[in-house]
Amino acid sequence: MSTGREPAEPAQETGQRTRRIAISIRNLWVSYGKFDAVKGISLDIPQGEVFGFIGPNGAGKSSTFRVLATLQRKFRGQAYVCGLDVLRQPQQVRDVMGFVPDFFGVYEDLTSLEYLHFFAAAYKVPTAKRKSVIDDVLTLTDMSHKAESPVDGLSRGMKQRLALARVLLHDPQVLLLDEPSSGLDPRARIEMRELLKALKEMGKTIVISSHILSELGQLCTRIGIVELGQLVAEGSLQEIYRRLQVMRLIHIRVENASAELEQRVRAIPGVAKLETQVDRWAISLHEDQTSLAELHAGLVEAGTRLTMFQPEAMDMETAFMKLTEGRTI
Amino acid sequence: MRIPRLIPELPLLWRELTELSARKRTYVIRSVGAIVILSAVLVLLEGASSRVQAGGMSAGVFNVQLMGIGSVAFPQIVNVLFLAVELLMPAFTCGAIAMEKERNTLGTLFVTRLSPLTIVLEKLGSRLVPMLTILLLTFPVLAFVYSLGGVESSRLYSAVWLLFWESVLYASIGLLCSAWYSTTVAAFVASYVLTGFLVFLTFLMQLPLPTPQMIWRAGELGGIGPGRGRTAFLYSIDSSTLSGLVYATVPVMVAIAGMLLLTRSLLFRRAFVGHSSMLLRIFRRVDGVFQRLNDRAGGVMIIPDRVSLPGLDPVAWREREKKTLGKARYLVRVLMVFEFPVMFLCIMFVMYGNASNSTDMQRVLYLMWAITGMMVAVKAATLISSERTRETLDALLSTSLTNRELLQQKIVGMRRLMLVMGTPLMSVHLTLFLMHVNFGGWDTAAGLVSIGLLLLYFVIAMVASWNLMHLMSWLSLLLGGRSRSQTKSVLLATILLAIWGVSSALFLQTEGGRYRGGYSGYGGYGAYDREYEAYETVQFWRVQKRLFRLDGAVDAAQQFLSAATYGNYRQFSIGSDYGTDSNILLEGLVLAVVLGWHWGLYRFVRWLTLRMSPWILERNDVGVGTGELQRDHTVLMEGTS
Repeated sequence: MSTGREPAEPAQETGQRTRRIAISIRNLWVSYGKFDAVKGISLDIPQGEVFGFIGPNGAGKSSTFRVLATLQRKFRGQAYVCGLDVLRQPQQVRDVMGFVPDFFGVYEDLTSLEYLHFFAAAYKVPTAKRKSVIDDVLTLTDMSHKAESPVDGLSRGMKQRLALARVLLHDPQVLLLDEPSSGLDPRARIEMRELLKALKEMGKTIVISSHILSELGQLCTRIGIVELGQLVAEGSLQEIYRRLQVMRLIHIRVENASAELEQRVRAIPGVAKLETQVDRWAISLHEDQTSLAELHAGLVEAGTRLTMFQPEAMDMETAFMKLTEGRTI
Repeated sequence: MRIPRLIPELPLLWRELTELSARKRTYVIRSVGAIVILSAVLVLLEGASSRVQAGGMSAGVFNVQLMGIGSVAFPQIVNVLFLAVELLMPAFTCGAIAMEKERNTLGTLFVTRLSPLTIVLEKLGSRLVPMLTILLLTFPVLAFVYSLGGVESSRLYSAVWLLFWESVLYASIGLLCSAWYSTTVAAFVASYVLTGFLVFLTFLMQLPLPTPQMIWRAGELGGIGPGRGRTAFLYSIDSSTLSGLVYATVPVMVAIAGMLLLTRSLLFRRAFVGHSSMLLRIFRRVDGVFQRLNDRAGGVMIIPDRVSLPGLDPVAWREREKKTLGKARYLVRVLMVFEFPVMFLCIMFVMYGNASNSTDMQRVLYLMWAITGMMVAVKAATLISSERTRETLDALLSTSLTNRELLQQKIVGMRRLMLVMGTPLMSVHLTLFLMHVNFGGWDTAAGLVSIGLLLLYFVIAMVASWNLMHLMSWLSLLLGGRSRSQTKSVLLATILLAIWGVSSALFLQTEGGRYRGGYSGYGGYGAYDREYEAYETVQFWRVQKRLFRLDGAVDAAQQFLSAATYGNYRQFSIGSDYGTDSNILLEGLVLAVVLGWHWGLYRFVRWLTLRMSPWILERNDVGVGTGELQRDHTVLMEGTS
């Protein structure tokens, strides 16, 4: 599988690009009573990757995150973080992983500095190193000026940054961020995105779930789309786009529309469906058989006088809508 | 023509009852409540009938002597029902309004056409129904006892009437607290403190407050009982007639109306108060006052704020340094709040009481134990659930702290609170020690032994108290740790502890039935005056009793005090078999066994809690697996670009 990145660790044996797997999930099932929240998800996330986890509410994203964060006691299947078994070696997993849950509270009785000292002690960062580590993460997250502020008084964006600072204290290899941009204003979201980019540059493996798909598009190297507890698509953005573009929708307006012309357009190779709408025709095209340019030529050849030729843009939202059917739980 | 509705539409009551019926908790509380009450009733009934049967006829054959037994059993059963109302009603009502605040649904009620008074009354009705249902369950037993004879019809009617008003009274108190506080937990604690205070004033201190229970007792004693002078009003009532009964309950009705009107006015004013700790807010205001005084007078701060950062125990550090009931400065204030009244009472009893009658001191001791027990139980039960409700637990659980470390640090963080709550308890024990010790006899061997024994009592009382507080805290953590809401964890821990405490005190206080009269309590001098059983048998029974009692070790320490001081009061001795030095040894042995057992119990509960920590925290811990790196899943991933 190509990721277009340098390996996080030296390549071995072959001349091919190689990287270690940071997260590996095999046939994961999470059930709450009789309800299956996750149904057999399997995926591998290489080290250094930013993996976007997308899915409607209740799709099973948070349950998967909880398994990886060692917070789910009972599940079936296997889950490994940096080669460590989540079920058998939870304590070691916690040492290499940082988790920011989707809903998180902060201790209102602490200042930012005390909050970070608290978690540094909880992560068992040696006392002698704590001050410098905390200074570093405060600088990285641009929170130095808020060090003495009570946590309770911070804005939501600041609290998110503080949460991110918290999980960086023990220098984890993997970061699990469940909806980190949820509820943030545009400025805070942009700042968060820049921060995540910086972490990506540092070589951290980041698994991130979000509903703000455009952001994931700018940040993620690979995405996985989950619905009803199942992974319905997984791969690089290009791979997913390519897969979905098999049936590209093209809107056209024709000046000389007639039933006969409609028949001729339907006969163009690659046209799967033609739907007549009020002011336009919507053509579903097998793009792997016929390219957009070939369709355009075919339409002209069929005698259409085109006033509009508009292929539908493929973006994350489209992919999401195409792959999921909105069957939220 | 439209017929006007006789019963108005009560949407809120309907909703509340529907919600209550959908909750599993309702049935659990109802079942447990009914089981406890009915068990108490049956034990009392059995005790009364065995006493009558002991008169002569063989068991199993219907005994004519049982006829009229109702006069013995009925008052005891009604007293248990009064106690049940006092124990359960605050728990039922404390969440009525506070829970709406927690769920942010009170505002939506205000925008409906329901008036504030309607809301209060419908809430009251919704909480009365479960209590009255439980009381209704016991009515067949009352009817049976009534059928045995010896109970006047007027007593039956007055019992029903007074139990109803007792329920309304304590429901109103709970509702008032619920309207005032922003959280159910705070309302819960306040309801029980107020209820306990009222019970302390009326039942224990015999103040002439016309509560339904006191009216009942006055009617039962018929003006012969203790405290007659102080409760002249109550004894002047003829509660055998309906008019007399109604007249007697008028003050209660007025008090209830006043509380409901106050609740109504608070409903709006306190609807959107913040969730921050009220205690913390009060302390911060006090801080401000002191700060201003210091600024003007250039005073000295006795306990300055110490800036500290966590060392190796972050969770304990936060509980100790950052929580309201952890900060040294604030805890000193809490200590003053409890210590001054206790010291005042101790001095009063020392000045106006006498050493041979320490019953009043015992009452203060057990009142303080009730408050301490509640504070420790509430704090320990919410240690984890408060993290859950504030959504801070997941962050904490994803750190490197193990489950055991987390729970241990949580309890260690409570030690300051235990120390503070233990201080007034120690003051009572110290007063008891000083009341009994005779320093004048230090120059004789017997005097020295007596002083030594009393000193030993004081040390043992401290150890027993410390042990009991730890037992309660670990047990509360175990019971309430798993709950998702603080209310649930507090209810679970406190109700189970209360059931253990009260039921063991009720059921295991049975040696009274073995003696000619009733056992008078912890003073115990009169106990040696009994004739039925040998001293050793009695001791064996007491050991058994104390093993199962929550306060068994503290109780044993008190008994040791009685035995240790007995030598100083030999004039009270009647039988020559009792009061010898060997009795002190025996009491010491009993105490050692009970203390050892309770220490073992505490260690077992602690071990069980730590063992069950993955279940409580819903997280797997170290040692679950092999600890080996899964090489299969660190395989290098081949790039195929």
